[in-house]
Amino acid sequence: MKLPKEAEKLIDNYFNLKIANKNVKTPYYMNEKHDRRGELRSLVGKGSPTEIEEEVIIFAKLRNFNLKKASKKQIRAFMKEEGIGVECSGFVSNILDQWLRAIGKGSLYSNIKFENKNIFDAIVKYIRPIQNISADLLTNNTNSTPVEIKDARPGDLLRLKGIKKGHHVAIITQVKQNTITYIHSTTHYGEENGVREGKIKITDKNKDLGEQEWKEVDKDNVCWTLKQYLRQKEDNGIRRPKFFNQEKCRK
Amino acid sequence: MQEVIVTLLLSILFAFAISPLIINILYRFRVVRQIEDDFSSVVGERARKAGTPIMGGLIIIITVLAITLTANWNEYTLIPIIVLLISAFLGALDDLLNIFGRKRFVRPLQKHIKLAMVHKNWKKRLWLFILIPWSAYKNLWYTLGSYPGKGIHAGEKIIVQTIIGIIVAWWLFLHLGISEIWMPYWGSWELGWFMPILVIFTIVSMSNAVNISDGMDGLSTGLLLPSFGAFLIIALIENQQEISILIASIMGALIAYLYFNIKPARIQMGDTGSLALGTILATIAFLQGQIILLPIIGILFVLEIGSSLVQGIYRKIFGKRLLKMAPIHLHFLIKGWAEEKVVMRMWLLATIFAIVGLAIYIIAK
Repeated sequence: MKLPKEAEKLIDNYFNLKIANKNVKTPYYMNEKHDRRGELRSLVGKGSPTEIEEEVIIFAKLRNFNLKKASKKQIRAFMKEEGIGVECSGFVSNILDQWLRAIGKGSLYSNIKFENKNIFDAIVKYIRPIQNISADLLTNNTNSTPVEIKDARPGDLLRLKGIKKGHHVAIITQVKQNTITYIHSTTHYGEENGVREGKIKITDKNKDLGEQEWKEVDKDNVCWTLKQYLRQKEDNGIRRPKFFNQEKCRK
Repeated sequence: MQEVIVTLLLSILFAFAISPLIINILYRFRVVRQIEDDFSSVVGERARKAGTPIMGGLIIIITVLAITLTANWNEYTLIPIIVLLISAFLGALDDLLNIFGRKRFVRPLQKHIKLAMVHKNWKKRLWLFILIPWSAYKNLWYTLGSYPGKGIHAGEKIIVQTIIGIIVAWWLFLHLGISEIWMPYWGSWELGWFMPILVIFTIVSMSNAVNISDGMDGLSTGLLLPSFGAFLIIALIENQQEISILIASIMGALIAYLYFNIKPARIQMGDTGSLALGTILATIAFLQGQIILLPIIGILFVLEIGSSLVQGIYRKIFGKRLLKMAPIHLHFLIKGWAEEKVVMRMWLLATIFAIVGLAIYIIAK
């Protein structure tokens, strides 16, 4: 299974937001305030690259922030200050949505099973699907199945457990010669937070995910993904979305 | 015709004469634009407008009042002037609270109910119980995207505007016996009891539409002038002496006010003027029986309020923007158009549609 070009382009757009002729990497932002839940997708960490770019331009006008004069670092700092960015599940959901559409399987909404509390809840999820897809939902037993490390392939999800409640999710984009490449949006890595690419070298296929060689390190050679997200061994692992298990799926 | 021209000139002169005085008084009492209270005013260069006197609508209200009381006081101008004053008072209160008031918060409904159940003082508990519907109403507006500031909340404004609408509806329907509207090619349409509902809806919508369009120097005034101009011509054709003099006094005051409101504005209309002028524009359209032409003659106001409504609903439902910002004049500003360009293009469009409205009236009459 291979990453479709459309999804590849979307990922590239997250890594290179076009803002004032500069390529800016999307920073991490997660909505933790209840009153922002009804907000714009891009202001709750669930926006697409286009929506994020548009919001940056609008907020720059509102705050009189000169994007042309600002450096990439300053733009990222501005975005963080204004709460514009993407969180892990928002990032992965948008990629999966694009992926499914590219292979002719419809939207992510039509492929995922929500746990609706009532009819109102179901309507809200129908209208705002991406905002209602969490890392937990993507990687729970209803929507995914566990996969052995040796069987990992692009499109599989890395379910990781952070310090706080809930899970962190990353998506595998490539598996080549015992190396798994994944992308995710993470709060860690200081100023380099946000969308990132990492690699895991499979040293022993029989060992746990946390015991492999993680190569996503910062300048001090610390792999925050390993340190912060792989704390609970029993809850980590590679999960395959059930919609990718079906036969119709294009190779 | 002669009286109309004289009224127009007198109104211009009177408004010109009182403008410097009003501007100075507003400066003196620091009735000036506060940047943090107006979200739209923080857009780029509009942030520089902080410190400009607001409540410039007073120039128009005082002029119209002075001329009407001295030269045009009759049964056709009584209610328009009363609703003009009530709306102006509502707007003035909002303007003043936005400057001198304290930030007001909306207590979440759940918290309100909880407090009503656990408060140790039974009188307070009872009071909180009585206020539950009011709290629910305020929370509804908050949910719809009306963020509470220092001024009068949207829900509160709507209630007062509805009362104004009821007064106009009562006057038109029961006092003057107007229950018909003119339809191009069809002639008169009897609306019966639907008429008061239409009156209330139009008064509330138009008053807010003019208020929303008052977001750039010269914009709302430049849109109001062709609208009132079209209704003035209709009044002259229909030989409605009292209404034409009333409109001429408004237009004269608007012309003088615009002189001071053109970018960079020395004064801004504020809610005092915008709410009042929106109300009287709708009232005049009903009085003339030409309400059907109002959405054409005042199409820019429809676009302004329509874009805000649609944007708000779309944003709340889908979590995406339809326009870059609402109302529509801010969309163009965000797109990179200069303020002058937006204002003048909208003036042009307003003039064109005022002519279209007039043409429909003349051709289809």
